[in-house]
Amino acid sequence: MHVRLEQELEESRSTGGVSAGFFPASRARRVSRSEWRIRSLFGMAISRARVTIVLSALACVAALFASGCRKAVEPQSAIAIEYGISPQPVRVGPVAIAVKLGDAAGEPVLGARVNLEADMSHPGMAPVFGEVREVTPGQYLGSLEFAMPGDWVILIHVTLPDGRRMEPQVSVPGVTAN
Amino acid sequence: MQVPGLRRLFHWRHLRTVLQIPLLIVSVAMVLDGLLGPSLAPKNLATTLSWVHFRGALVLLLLCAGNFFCLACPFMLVRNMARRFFYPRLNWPQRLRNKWLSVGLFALILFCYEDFSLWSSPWWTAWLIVGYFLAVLVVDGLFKHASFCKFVCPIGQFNFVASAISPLEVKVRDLDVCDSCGTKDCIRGRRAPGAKLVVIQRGCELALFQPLKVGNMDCTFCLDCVHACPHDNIGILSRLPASELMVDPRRSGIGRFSQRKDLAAMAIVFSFGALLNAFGMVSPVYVLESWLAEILHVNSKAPVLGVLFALFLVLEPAVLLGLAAWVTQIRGGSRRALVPLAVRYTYGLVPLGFGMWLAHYSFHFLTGLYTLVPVIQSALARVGWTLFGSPRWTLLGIPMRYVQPLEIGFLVLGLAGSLLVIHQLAESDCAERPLRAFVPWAAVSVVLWLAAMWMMFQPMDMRGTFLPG
Repeated sequence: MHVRLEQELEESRSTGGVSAGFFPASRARRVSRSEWRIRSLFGMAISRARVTIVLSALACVAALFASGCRKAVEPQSAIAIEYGISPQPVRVGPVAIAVKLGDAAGEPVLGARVNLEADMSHPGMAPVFGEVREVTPGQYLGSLEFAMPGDWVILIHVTLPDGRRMEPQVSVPGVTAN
Repeated sequence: MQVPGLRRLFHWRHLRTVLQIPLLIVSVAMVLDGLLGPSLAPKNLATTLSWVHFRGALVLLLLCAGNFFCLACPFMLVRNMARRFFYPRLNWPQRLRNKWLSVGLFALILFCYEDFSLWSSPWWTAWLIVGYFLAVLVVDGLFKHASFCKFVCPIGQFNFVASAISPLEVKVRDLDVCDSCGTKDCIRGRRAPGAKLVVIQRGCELALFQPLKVGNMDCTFCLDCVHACPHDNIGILSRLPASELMVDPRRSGIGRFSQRKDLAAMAIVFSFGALLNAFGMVSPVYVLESWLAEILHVNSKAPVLGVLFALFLVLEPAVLLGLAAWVTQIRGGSRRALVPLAVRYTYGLVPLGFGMWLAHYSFHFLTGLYTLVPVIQSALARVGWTLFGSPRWTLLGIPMRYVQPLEIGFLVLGLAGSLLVIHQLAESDCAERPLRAFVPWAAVSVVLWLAAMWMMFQPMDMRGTFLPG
């Protein structure tokens, strides 16, 4: 497995927050200016204030769902991260992780601090950690020990020489027992 | 409760609200973190609290005390607030006045848990919580009383069935006092003096009339009856766990267990679902799923899970319980027909099922007990509150080697409970030859227990994916 993660792609994925959610609510307020009451199919008398509350709540929920409700991703400068895991297929036990860092011009990024963390997809399980060392300029090599079969996610904690941090996630599904 | 401090506490009218408010705040935090926080489940409040801490704390509370989660249910706080604006006018439809809907929803949640890998998705977990709040608001906004709790809520049904094993029960202290009571406020609600239409303290919303109430089924421990009783004759009292499964009187708001096929179906989903839910976490399930996918020629999870659920929640119970009922009929000389016989003895599997839920959920709870600390630290840090320092992700819980004996203990307790209940039922059914009625059902319990023990010793495999690509 050899995958290239383009951090700059993250810039285009920003969802723009949830401000759209307030539009229907303001419509509800406008409707509520008229002095009417409605009687529902179920015989409930509903005042204008109640209509406003309900419409606002439903609109917020709908907008949250529609917006994808993700936090906006902070734009990163163009750092390309490539990684490789061996051996394949991935099994319980030690694995070697190779990480390659390159800048926008394709030049290797030297002197970065890279740490590995792997978590299971299920919460409450023990994470494993691994140190990484720079073996050649821009090439980093480390190891992890998967303790259990299942789906794992590797977090590559990268601190660039200028202090910027990145934390790409690498999904490693279906780690099998030996 | 005879403990002086506790007795006063449980008589305090605002106790429920005070318990509900923190849970509501936690629920909101879980939803926000699930939607806006990290996508990695072990680092998110929604997944960690839901699938590690809430479930574990719930089953341990049910084992040690009773259905106190329903007492502190945050959904009901929101419902009560909403009912200040909307007063429902409809009665719950007659056709749905049973547990069939909630049996289906309970099975559906177990299915969705596997299909959507809910444990690994903060996003879906958060929407599940939001969906729950919305469902409560819609159902109890339209229908009177506690329709959602009694006929819909899957968590509530789980708690109702599991609390059959609890040592505490809300019940009458002295039945003679009830005989002389003229107002029946425990069910009707306490009325304002001089204004009979004004209810100042509601009675039981789940239609449980205290003098005829037996056991914890359908009881949310809301304590409305405790507050409504003018004679202070209702309390939280101790009893023999599982004793309510050994008898079959007509129960207020429920009827006889032996005549409730829907309740028996709930007990089946509860008991066999416990095994299925745990089976989803061990390596052999992925071999079976891959094999099913191959013979079904499918490349998606849902149909494979559908077959698996049909096998373990429908076919397996039908075969095992049908066979046991048939043998009981032939050998035990029971005069009951096959289905009523199966319905009657199905409740005997509840202790074993609870033992399995307990072993499974307490395992995650205890081995991941302290993971809550870094997750909370991380969530607080995200909102700029680093008071508790940087998260210590190495914090875990009790080592597996200590938890595993406890799991086995829970399973043994569950089996012992099931055998005891089945023996009591057999004795009351066939006083002359109880062993003949006991043996087939005991055999079913032992088979299920062996399956549970086998699972406990399988290598754990936490996979959401089993199909290539």
